Amino acid sequence: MMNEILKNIPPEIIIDHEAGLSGYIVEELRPKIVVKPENTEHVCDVIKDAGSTGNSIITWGGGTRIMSCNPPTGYDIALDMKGLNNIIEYDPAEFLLIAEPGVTIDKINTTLRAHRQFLSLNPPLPERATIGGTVASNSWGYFRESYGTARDCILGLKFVNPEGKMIKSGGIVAKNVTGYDLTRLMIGSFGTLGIISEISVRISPIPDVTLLVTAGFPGIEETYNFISEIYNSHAVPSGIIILDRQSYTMVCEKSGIVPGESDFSVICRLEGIKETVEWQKKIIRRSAAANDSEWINDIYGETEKKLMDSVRDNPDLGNDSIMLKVAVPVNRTYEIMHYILSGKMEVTINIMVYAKCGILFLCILNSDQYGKGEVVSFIKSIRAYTQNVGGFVNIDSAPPHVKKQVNVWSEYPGMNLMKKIKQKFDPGNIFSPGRFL
Amino acid sequence: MEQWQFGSIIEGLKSIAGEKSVLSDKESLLTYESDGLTMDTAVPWAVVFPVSAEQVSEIVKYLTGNKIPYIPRGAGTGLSGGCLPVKGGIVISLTRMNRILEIDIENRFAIVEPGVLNEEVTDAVKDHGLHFSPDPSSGQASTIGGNIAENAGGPHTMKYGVTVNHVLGMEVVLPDGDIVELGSSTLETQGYDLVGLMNGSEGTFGIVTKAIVKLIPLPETYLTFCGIYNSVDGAVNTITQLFKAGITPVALELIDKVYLKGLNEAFDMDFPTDAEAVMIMELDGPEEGMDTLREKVIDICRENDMRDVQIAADSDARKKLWTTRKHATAALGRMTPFYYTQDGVVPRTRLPEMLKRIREIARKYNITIANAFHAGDGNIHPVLLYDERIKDEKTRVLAASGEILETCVEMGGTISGEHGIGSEKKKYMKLVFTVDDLEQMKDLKGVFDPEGFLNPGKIFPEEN
Ligand SMILES: Cc1cc2nc3c(=O)[nH]c(=O)nc-3n(C[C@H](O)[C@H](O)[C@H](O)COP(=O)(O)OP(=O)(O)OC[C@H]3O[C@@H](n4cnc5c(N)ncnc54)[C@H](O)[C@@H]3O)c2cc1C
Repeated sequence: MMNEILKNIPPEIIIDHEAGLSGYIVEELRPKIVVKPENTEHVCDVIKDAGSTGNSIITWGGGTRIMSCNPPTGYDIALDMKGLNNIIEYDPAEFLLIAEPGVTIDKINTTLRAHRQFLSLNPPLPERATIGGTVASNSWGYFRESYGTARDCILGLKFVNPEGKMIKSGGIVAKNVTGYDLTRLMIGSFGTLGIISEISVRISPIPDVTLLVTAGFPGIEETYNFISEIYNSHAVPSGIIILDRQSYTMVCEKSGIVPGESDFSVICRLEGIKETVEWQKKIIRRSAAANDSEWINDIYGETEKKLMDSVRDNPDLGNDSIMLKVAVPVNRTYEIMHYILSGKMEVTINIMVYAKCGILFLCILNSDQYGKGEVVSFIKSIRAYTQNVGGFVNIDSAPPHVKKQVNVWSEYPGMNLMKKIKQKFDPGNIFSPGRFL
Repeated sequence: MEQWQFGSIIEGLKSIAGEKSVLSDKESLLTYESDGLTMDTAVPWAVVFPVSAEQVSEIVKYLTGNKIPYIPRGAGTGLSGGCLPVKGGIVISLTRMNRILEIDIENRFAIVEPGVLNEEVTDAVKDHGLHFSPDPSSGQASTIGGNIAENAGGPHTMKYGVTVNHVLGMEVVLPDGDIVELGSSTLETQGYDLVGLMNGSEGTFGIVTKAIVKLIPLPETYLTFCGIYNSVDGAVNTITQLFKAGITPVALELIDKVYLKGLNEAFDMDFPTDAEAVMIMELDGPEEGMDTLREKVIDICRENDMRDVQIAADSDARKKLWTTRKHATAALGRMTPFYYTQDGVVPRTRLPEMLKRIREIARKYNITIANAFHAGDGNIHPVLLYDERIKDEKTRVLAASGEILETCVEMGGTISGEHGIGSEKKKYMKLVFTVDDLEQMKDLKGVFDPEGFLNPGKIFPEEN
C-alpha cells in the first residue's frame, strides 16, 4: 500500500519487512515503511508524496535523540537520512564546512583534524549522532559552555517543506541579516517544520592547550563558594561542571579513572595558550583549596579526553532511566540543587550541572524500581519549583509509560505562536506529529 | 485619507497615548522623513509616543481597526530605511519607553525597555565588571529595540556574537494587540527560537516592548593595536593566519587608504597616508599571557606584509582609536556633502578580490568609494561619496552599489550583514533567494501579521 503512495521512490531504498522496521520504533510505535534516501531528490520526492497523501514522517539521523520528544500521534514513514553522508565542501581557511545531514559528528571531526580544526557541536555519542539530527534537536555537549549551541555556529541550511520544495535560508558567511532567520527557526524544531537537507557550519581551531582542573568538595556550600570565587577572578574557564558523588563515580569508571571521594566534584576546563592556562590553573587550585577541597587534580592528554567524552555521553542509562534537563537563570542552579538535596525525595537523583549556562541534568536510574506515582510526582514538583525560579524542565528521555503521564515539554512563553507557525509551515501535520506541538 | 478622517485618527491616538504624545504638524513630522539612510524619504502621517506595552497594544488595535499602516521606530539611525512609512501611516516611536527595569548582576541579565540606548546598558553595569557586548558604531544613539530589529553587529561582535546572541527574552506586542512574552531569563530555550526570529525581523513581526539582554564579563585587559599594511591582501591573510593559529581577536577592523588623510585630520591620528590599509586589531583576556600573544600576533602580521605597528599605550589611546573607527564616516564629511553606506558580506578569504572589484566599480562609475569595515567577518561597508548637485552622480552611486551587492552574492556572500534589507534593498532579495524561499518567509510574516498593517513595504521585493 505504502509502495503505491510513494510512487516516485525507487524500491531499493524502501524497507517494509518486519525485521527492517523494528529498528525504527519510536515510543512503541512502528512505522509502516522505512525510506533511506540516497540524495536530496529522493528526500523531496518522498516528502512530496507523503505530503500530498497525508502520511506522516519521522526523520531519523543516528537515533541518539529520537527519544527526546513526546510520543508521536502518527508515524507512517521513517525517513532515514544516514545515506546522505557527504561532506560537500570543506574550506579550512574560511573555517567553513558544508555537509549533508547524515554525516556523523565523528566523521566531520576526522576530516577537520588534519587542519587542527574541530566542530564545536559535540553532542553525546558522536560516532552515531549526525549533524542533521544534532541541528534539528539543538543537541550539544560540554563545548556549549564556551562555544554556544547550533544557533551560534550554523550559518545556513536547506530544508524540504511539506510540498517537497527545497528552501534555502542563511548562507555560508559569518554575518547575515538578509531576510528572516529561518535557520534559527529550524534549529531545535525536531523535524516538525521541515526536513533539513544541507548544513553550513562555522568550525573552530583546536586550542593550543586543554587542561582540566578537578576538585572535590564536602558540600554544596563549598562547591558554590569555589565557583563564585572563580567568577570573581579574571580566570575564564571554558567550562565548569559540577557532579554529585554518584555521577562523578560513574563518569570516572567509564573513563578508567580512579574517582576522588567527595560528595561533589567540579571539573573546570581550561583552554588557550600555555601561559594563560597555567596561570588560570593556579587561580583555580588556590580557590579550591581555600574552599576546603578534599582533593585537586590536573588532568590532561588522553585522560582528559576520556573523562570529558564520558561526561558528554552521559553514562549508559538503560531504557528505564529518566533524564531531565532543568534550565534556570545562570546562577540559580544552586537553588535547584538545594531543593533536591534538602527535600525528602522519594527517588534518588543523580545530578550534573553545567554551571556556566545554568543547566542541570537530573537522572533517575532504574526508574522502574519506584512506584509510577513517585516518579511522576517528582517530575511535577521539580517542574513547579523550577518555574518559580524562572526556569523550565524538559524530559530528555523517559520510558513511554512516564511520558503518557507527563508532557515532555514545559509550559513555555510563546507556545501559541509556535503552534501557529507549525500550522502554517506544515498544514497537513505530516512532520513528526504530536512530538513537539 | 480625507482631512476629517485624519483628524479623527489623531484624536483617537491622543485619547490612547495622551494629548502631548502625538505629533501631527508638518514641520515636526519632517524630522521623521528618513532614518540614517538619508537618500530615501517618506513622511509619516503622524508620530505617536506610547509609554507602555498596554498603550502600544491599544494603538496597534486602533490602527488595525482603521486599516492604517503603522511603523515602529527607535532612534532612527537605521541604514536601510526600516522605519520609513513607505506605504504611508503612523510611526510608533518607542523612545519614551526608555527605562532600565531590572538589573540582575548575579544572573547576568538586564530587563530594559526598547527605547534604552545601546551604550546605556553597558554604562549601567560596567562597575560590576559586566557589559552588553553588541557594540554598533551607533551605540550612543541607537536603541535596544532597533538593535534587536536589525540584529545589529559591531566591531566586537566578531568574537562575542551579534545582538541575537545576547538577547534571552522579550515582551512583544503582536499585530492583533496581544502582549506576549518570548524566551526567558535562562540561556536555554524550548522549541522554536522565537526570540531568534524576532531578532533581525526588522520591525515586521511585532513591536518589542521589553527585552531581557545578556550581560557578560568584561575582560581583565585589552591589547589594541593598528597594523599598517602595504597591501589589503596582507591584512586579510593576517586574519586567516591568526585564526589558524587559534587566536581569536575580539575585533579586526580594516580601513582603506581613502580614509586615512581624513581620519588624521578629523581625529588627530598619524596614519601614514601612503599605506594601503590599516587594520585595528584587538585582543582581550587575562593579563597573563598577553605579551606572548602580542608577539605571536605581530609576528604573523609581519609575515603578511605589515610594515609597521602602532600599539595603543593605555586606555585613553585605545579609546581614541575606537572613537576614530566608530566615527570614521564622519571624517568623510570633509570630502563630500553626501555619502551612501553600503553593507554586504563575502567569504572572508575573498576580501582582497572584493576590494579590487570595488575599486574597479568606482572607476567604472567615476565615483569615490571608501572602505572601513569588519574584516574578520567579511562584512564590508563601502561608503560611496556623491554630490547631489552634480548631474546624475546619485544615479551612478546607486548603480555602483547594486553592482557591489551583485558581486557579494557572486562570491558566495550576501547583501546585508548587519544593516538589514528594509525598503532599501528589497529589490535585491531575488539575488539571494528563490521565489519559494521568499514565499516561505512570507508565510512567517503571515503568522505574525496576517492583515499586513505592521511596517508594510519592507524586505520583500514589490510584486509586479
Ligand atoms: C553612524 C552610524 C553607525 C552605525 N553603525 C552600525 C554598526 O556598527 N552596526 C550595525 O549593525 N548598525 C550600525 N548602524 C545602523 C543602526 O544604528 C542600527 O541598525 C541600529 O540597530 C538601529 O537602531 P535604531 O534605534 O536607530 O532603530 P531605527 O532606525 O529607529 O529602526 C530600525 C528598525 O527597527 C525597527 N524597530 C525599532 N524599534 C523597534 C521595536 N521596539 N520593536 C520592533 N521594531 C523596532 C524599525 O521599524 C526599523 O525597521 C549605524 C548607523 C549609523 C547612523
